[in-house]
Amino acid sequence: MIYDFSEKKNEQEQVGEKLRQMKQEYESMQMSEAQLQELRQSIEKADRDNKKEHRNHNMVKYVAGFAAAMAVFVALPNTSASVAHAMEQIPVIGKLVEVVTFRDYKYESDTKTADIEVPKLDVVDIENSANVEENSGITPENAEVQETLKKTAEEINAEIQRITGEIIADFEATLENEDGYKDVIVKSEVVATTEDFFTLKLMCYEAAASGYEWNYYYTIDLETGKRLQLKDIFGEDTDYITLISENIKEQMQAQMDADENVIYWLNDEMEELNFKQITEETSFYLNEDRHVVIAFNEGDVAPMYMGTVEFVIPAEVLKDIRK
Amino acid sequence: MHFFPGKKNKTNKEAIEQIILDKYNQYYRLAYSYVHNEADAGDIVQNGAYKAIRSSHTLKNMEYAETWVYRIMLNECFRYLGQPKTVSYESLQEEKGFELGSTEDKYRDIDLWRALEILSDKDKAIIIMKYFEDKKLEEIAEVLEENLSTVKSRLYRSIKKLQEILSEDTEK
Repeated sequence: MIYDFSEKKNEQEQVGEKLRQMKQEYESMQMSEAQLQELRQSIEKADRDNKKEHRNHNMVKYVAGFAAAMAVFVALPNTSASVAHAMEQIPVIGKLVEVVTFRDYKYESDTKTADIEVPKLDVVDIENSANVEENSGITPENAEVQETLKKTAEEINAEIQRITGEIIADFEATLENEDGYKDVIVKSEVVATTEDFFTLKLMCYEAAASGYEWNYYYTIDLETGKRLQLKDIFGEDTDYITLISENIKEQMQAQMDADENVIYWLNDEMEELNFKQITEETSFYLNEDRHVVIAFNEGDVAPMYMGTVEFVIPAEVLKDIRK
Repeated sequence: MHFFPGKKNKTNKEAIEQIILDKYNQYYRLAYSYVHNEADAGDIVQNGAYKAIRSSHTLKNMEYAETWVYRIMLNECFRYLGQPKTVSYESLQEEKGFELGSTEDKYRDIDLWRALEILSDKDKAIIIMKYFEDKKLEEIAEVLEENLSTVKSRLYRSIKKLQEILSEDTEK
């Protein structure tokens, strides 16, 4: 079924046209000479008042401390509850990687709440692993993979801590203003892990007037211990970007055809909104069936009300170019 | 952290003053779009200028100075109108007792401007910044301190609303 955008486009163009007409009128508005004079006077007054006032550089800094080791405890001076958990251990995923809670930041007041759990990847020591029978003896291969895995985990942990550190800092900055409402949540989960791949999903949510959700995906290739990027899945010089992007567009169109409440930015009059292509950096993960899943944050390819959206790329589309 | 706070602040202040003296008409137009009369629009620009210079020491990154001043002016517009408006034009009319089309304002095509009144203060700001000031979406997001995606969504919704209103009008 061919979607007829022409009538819609016409209407949209009309709006654009009218707005352009208004722009001319808009630009003709100017301040009078008298008003400009008053403006200069306001500026001068501000200068004078600046000099008069003795500013009090009284900065109260709140610094949250990080323990050197794993367990982190954040205590906040506050009216309501502030709780910190010690480490939580999630059962060993696969043989090699564990997810533990590195930091648990909680805050609650009348207008502000934060519930931020910062995950950390722990590489299980094969020597001490409970699965010692499965890993009978350390072969050179395994050891190398282990090393790479540890490095990869470190990189990912550093990134996660940087991201969540910023989120926490931003949140604490809003605490100065008691009136504004703010709610921040950060959680994580392991999505679709197989023998070969492990994906950690970091889910972030922030609300002031309206809520916004965004996610990060970290995938590790357990065979090599390296972080898996989208291009690693495909042969060199294959145009995975076009293949995947075109398939996504097909899926978007199909969904819109099937349900008029579904909207993707595909053929909108505002060209700059429209989805063109994924990039090397586009978020993705591999599901249990080892299919590529492309993930978009709210507002990336569709209006916010659509939420975060994902597209599973069918195996046939990619079978010729996968490694 | 500043090692010579006094010195840095002085340069900040001068740069900000210069920005205001270069762009006051931009702020004026913005204000006029909200209050629809010259006197109030002028007041807003003056008050905004005063506040900007008084708080110039809080601006950490001079790269964003223009955006920062614009944001102060926009907030002054919002402040002037009371809480950021999410109610309709009609109830605003009742509240404030002002009417588009009175002798005070100088619009030629009332319908277009009336249509804009339907939008919330923030959504209207996005339309003004995009279509009248030709600002990029990223800059608009910075001025409003919102996500780029949120701005895109709001813009999209506003255009849809304006469409509806304008097509109703032509059907009359």
